[in-house]
Amino acid sequence: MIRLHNVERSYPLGRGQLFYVLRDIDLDISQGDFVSVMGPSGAGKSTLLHILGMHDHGWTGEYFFDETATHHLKAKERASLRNEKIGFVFQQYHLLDDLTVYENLDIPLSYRHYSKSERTALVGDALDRFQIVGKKDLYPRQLSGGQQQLVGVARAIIAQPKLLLADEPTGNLHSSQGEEIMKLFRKLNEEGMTIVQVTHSEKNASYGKRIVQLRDGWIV
Amino acid sequence: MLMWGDFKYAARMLIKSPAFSLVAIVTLALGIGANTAIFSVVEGTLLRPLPFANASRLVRLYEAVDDNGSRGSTLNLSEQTFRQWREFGGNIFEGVASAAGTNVTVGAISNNPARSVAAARISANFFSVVGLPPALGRAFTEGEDIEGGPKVVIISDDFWRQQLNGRADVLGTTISIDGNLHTIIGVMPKMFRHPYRANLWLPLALPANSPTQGTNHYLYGVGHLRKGLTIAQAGEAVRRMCATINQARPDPNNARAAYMPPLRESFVMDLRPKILVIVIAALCVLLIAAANFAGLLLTRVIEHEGEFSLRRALGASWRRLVRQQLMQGLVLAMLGTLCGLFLASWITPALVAMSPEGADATGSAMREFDYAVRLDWPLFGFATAVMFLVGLGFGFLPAIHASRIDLRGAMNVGSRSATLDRSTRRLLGSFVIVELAVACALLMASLTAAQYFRKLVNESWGFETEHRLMFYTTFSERLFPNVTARQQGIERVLAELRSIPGVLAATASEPSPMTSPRNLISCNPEGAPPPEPRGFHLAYLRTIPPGYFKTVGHPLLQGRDFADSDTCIVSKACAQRFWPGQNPIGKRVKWGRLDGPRPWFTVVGIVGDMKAIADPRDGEVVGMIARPLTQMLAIASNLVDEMTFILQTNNNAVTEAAIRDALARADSRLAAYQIISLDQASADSRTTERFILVLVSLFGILGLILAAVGLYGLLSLQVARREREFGIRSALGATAAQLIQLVSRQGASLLGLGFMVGGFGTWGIIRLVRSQWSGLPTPNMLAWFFGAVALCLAAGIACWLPARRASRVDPVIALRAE
Repeated sequence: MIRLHNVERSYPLGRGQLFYVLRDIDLDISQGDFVSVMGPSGAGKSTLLHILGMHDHGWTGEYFFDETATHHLKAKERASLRNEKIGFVFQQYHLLDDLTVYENLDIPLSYRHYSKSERTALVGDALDRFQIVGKKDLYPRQLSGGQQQLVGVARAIIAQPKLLLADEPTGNLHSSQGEEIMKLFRKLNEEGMTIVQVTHSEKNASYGKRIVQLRDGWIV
Repeated sequence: MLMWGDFKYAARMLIKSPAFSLVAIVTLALGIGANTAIFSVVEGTLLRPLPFANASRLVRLYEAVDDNGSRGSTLNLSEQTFRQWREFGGNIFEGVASAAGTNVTVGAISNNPARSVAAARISANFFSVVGLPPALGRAFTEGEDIEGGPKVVIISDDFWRQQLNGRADVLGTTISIDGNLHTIIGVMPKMFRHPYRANLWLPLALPANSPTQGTNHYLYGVGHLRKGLTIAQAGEAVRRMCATINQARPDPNNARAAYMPPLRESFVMDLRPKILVIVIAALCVLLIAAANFAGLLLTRVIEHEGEFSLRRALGASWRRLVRQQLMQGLVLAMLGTLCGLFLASWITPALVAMSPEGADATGSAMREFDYAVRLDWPLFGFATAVMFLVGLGFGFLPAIHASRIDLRGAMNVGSRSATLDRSTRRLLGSFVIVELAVACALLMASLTAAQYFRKLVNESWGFETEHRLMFYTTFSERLFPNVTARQQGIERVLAELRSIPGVLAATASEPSPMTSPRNLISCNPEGAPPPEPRGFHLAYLRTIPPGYFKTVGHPLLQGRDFADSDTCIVSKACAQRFWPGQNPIGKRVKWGRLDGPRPWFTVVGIVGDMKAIADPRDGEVVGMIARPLTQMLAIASNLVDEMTFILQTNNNAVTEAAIRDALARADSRLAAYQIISLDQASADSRTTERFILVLVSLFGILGLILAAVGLYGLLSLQVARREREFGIRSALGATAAQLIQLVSRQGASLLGLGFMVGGFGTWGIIRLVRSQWSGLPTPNMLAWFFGAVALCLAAGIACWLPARRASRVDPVIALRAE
């Protein structure tokens, strides 16, 4: 499903010098895989995640997604592909403060031009599936951290992406809440969703099927 | 000490953020500069007291033709009334003085050629009544103010310095006025040119027994009320005095009452509503600038929430935070005011140059005194008051906001909301709504002013202005002592003018075709009762030779030109008013009251209507009545003093020199002045309206720009504050267009609210000004439409830049807080 070949990401340091965040990354991720990316701070984990999520365009190398050579795509085409196939879960949840839980779930669908009735049905399903129907009219600040992340996961998968990218999804949660989220991830993976998560936690990584270790931008 | 510390800190903070400081200072400078400049004009025209010792007890004297003494039916004084009021009014007035305006021809002085000079004939007591003696020499004596009295003159300071080089021995020297040598007996104080913007003052020297002494209302009257008398009491006393006079000397031409506004008021009453419009426009700009300023300060507070929290945590009281923030506002306001004063000193002379000198009788009257716009204490006082109002008043809300910032929340950047909290958004939004609303009202006003002005300019004069020249010449009684001499003089001038190459035809008129309202005639149509209570209609009187209408291209609709005496030609409106549905040819019009001694005129022709010039009597005047020049010279030669000559030319330009040569050939004592094409005169005729239009439009544009800057500032802050949100939305699949739409929608809702509030505001302002100025034009659908379009365009630009920035937020950077 995903194939990275010789992917590198660097930033200019001045006087023609470059600082490499990622070096010579070769990585294959199959459909249904659950990969945990680990490594110390500054190893390039989040950068790798953003490249996979097609947020970052300043890299070199080859990136195939479902046999599509994304390195040849224009920004608009990549955005379209991302919208269709990828969902995100963030450490800070990044729910929109002024929108209710219901509206937060509705947002990705509205950007993908779903009809009103489809959106109503899909949001209803998500609320039911994640057991947050009772919270639908609450604002994010009225939820606990675990509940907010639950909404974040629901929002990430509501548009039925093939790939779920998660950046430290339990980083701001206490252990029991984190465990719940990881169980949810495992369940989603068992249902066929491909997941790539960045984590510092060995325990969380154990929920995945394999671990990719990064150090100073290299896969080790 | 603490204050000094706050001041230093404020100065340091402002230096640290030059862009913020610059925008705030420029915003305030524009608002305060515009208002200070307008205040200088208002102070000079409406507020500054007259430079007379008796100013508080001076009243303008109008003769009222009804018993109420109301403003609507008043006339200048007749010679008869002036004499009667002086004789009978001793217990009401300390003194009654009068004057008449004229132009005289001053003979060549050293290198200066003969020229026409504005002059006033004044009663001997004029300067003592107003309480301003000459700076040099003396005023006239009663012995000089008699028909055929000594030839004496008082000159203005300007005339003395410019024409006579300010020579010290000026008193007792002579100058030639209308061909006669006059002895200079006095020089008036600097800047004084009252009345009629005179450079020379001559004795009034009323004729002992003029046949028109009771009917010719041409005297400017001024009275000095006795101490302790109010205007109302004086008005009542004058009414009783008029009744006494009428009993002692019954005459239908006797005045029945007086309309006596304070002298100062009489100069500015017509100007006030027009200045009020400009003042409101300037205040609107100030309001927009102040709201903008408050918005900027609030933005700054929001950006420094962490700092305020830290200060609170370190023990700062809310008073201390408020004071610190107010000091910042005050420092900015001070700098803005300084720049505004500099701007005002630059704008004000331009304003005065652009203001309607001479076009508006009341407006220009104030320039006859010590009228000079200057940066003086009242002006500094005004600017300082505005500075404190804006700096402290509008800086207060942001300061209060700063003192109430949540201690725990703001210090923790991670927990800061991705958007502004609701109350802050409301506050900032309300500033922008106020700005947009006021800008909307200003736009409406400027668009309406533009429409009104366009209508005035495009309104046909009723005659041709193309290929026509005109100039004025004074045929004074001193140069032409009898009717025959004057008639021959006018005919000689016309003959010489017709001989100029390029001149197709020449004619004369009194008054100028562009200034119809200068001569009003009282009249009554045959077969209709006179209007009560006045007893006569008012019409514009035009005195012209045969062939006038053809030369100026004024269409003769019916009948024929003058051929004999006792005839008149009337305008279409006049004919329709007097004889609706009837053939007016052959009907008669009585000059004056039906029971008066004046003759009847037979209507021989009907001409098209002329553009009426704005005049307080508009609506009362029925139209125009034209009379043959020869007959008017015979029966009222004093009415035909200043003649306007009009030349119809071919495409080749006729030079000023050719006109002066022709005049010199006709009579070397005559001088031509204000030689101007009718096209140019037409363009110059609306200076008051143009002045208002230009100012209101400039304020409209300024307001629009400031409001757009305000909207831009708010949306920019929102976008900067919501960067993370836009990153999230982008990560969730929002396209650039969707993000632009999101920001624009916010701008559009503010715009919609602003437009709505502005609409109500405009309606309110119109009602307010209309109570003072009934002729105020009101906005029509076109004005609303174009106002909305202009506002949308400005708001669109203001939204576009932040919206585009929002669409370009890089999710990787925005989400890096991870």
